[in-house]
Amino acid sequence: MKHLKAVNRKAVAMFERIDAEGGEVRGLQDPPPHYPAGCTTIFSPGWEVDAAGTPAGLCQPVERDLYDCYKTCYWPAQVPDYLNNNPDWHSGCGSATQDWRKLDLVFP
Amino acid sequence: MIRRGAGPLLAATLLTLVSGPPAMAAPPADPKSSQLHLFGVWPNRLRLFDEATEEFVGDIGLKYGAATNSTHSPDFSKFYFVTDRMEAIEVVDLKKRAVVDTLKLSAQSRQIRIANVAVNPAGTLLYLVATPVVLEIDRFVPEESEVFVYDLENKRLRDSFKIPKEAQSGGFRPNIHFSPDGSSIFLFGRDIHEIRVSDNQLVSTIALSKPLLAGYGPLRGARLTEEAPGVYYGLYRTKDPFMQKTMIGVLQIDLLKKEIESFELGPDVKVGLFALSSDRKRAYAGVQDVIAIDMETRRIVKRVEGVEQGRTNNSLIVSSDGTKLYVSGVGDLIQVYDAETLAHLKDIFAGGDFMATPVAIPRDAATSSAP
Repeated sequence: MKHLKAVNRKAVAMFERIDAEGGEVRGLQDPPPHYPAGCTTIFSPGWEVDAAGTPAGLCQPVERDLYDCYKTCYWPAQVPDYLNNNPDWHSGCGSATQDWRKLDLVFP
Repeated sequence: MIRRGAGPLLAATLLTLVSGPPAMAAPPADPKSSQLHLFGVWPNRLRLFDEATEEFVGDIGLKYGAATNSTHSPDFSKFYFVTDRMEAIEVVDLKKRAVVDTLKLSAQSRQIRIANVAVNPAGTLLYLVATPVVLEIDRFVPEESEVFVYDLENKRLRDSFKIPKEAQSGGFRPNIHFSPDGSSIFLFGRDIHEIRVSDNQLVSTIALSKPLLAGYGPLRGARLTEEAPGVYYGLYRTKDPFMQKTMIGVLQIDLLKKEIESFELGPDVKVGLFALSSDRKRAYAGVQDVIAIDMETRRIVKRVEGVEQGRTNNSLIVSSDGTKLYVSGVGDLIQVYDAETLAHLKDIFAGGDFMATPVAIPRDAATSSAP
């Protein structure tokens, strides 16, 4: 954080809060876990690759896994999170493999 | 606790012992009476699938969106679905094909996210394994998971208690199941912990985390399914500490008698799901590979490799007549396999992506007797 400089009121407030809490910046996985973006408690290689670092072990087609990642907030960086921030992302799409074009756009 | 079995008896650490809703009716089903499957389907409905016609025969709308988990009364008349982004329970009357009640425990700044749920045999108390999450200025902070006891008759929260340290398994919230007589709940983690309902005290543990025999490595549990009241089946794996060779076997746990029985099948196979036929003579496991197991000779009698790749399905149901396997739970297709040859027969479109794990139910539980 020492390389960052607050340039607006919200950022200043964040710095003040961090200082008030002892100047700590904690990773998401620190116990207790913190969920600034959504609700995940894990860091995984990600949605683009499998545990071996290749796409061979992914869902086939990959959209099959979309809602399971979404509803459990497993990868909120890659897939919008259902629990906190984007509950309506899927509302126009019942079947991800067939209707994925109807999924809503999400802007951070 | 008695441990017995024809093969080597095993008891060691269950690293990821999870359990799903019962896949079949409690007693061995009449093979002639076909069953229905209840699916949760995106974005907000339940669908009833009839094995006899292999068609969907009913839909039930949910009030608060996608279901993430469920349980049901012993007679399958009522289902309790976790919905509303893990914050609500919707009570579904299967014969009425309708949501008949809902409950929520969340407050504005403190969400109660429900992970797992169990109902007592009398249908009067709902036990919820849930995590309170407090909303702060820039983040959500979860508290320790608790068990909430909800009185269904008086519609109020009756009690809550912390999950015993012994039952907290690596951050995973334990699955919860009632004893058939309703006197205890069981939390499934690395071990199985019995909590007395009358005072919420931990009274016993079915120890699975200590090797019974020297030379065996940790035992890892797979998904367990309740095949009779209080009787759970699943697969286990164990890697011996010397040769580092992984073996696989079948595990049966009787919660009432607190007995564990197991038998070894052989070297590891790429399977995770387990299901029994209604006559209990044949079992199946899948689904990266799919195997058929003769439960009388305790051997693998058929094996097909490379059935699914990557993220595999999470539900395996044997048809009530034992002739077909229904594989589903991920994506939007029910895959039908021949139980004898394990050959893929066809795919059935479910109308949307699956949500909570599908449940097989007796036909009479879903059919109204009213004229």
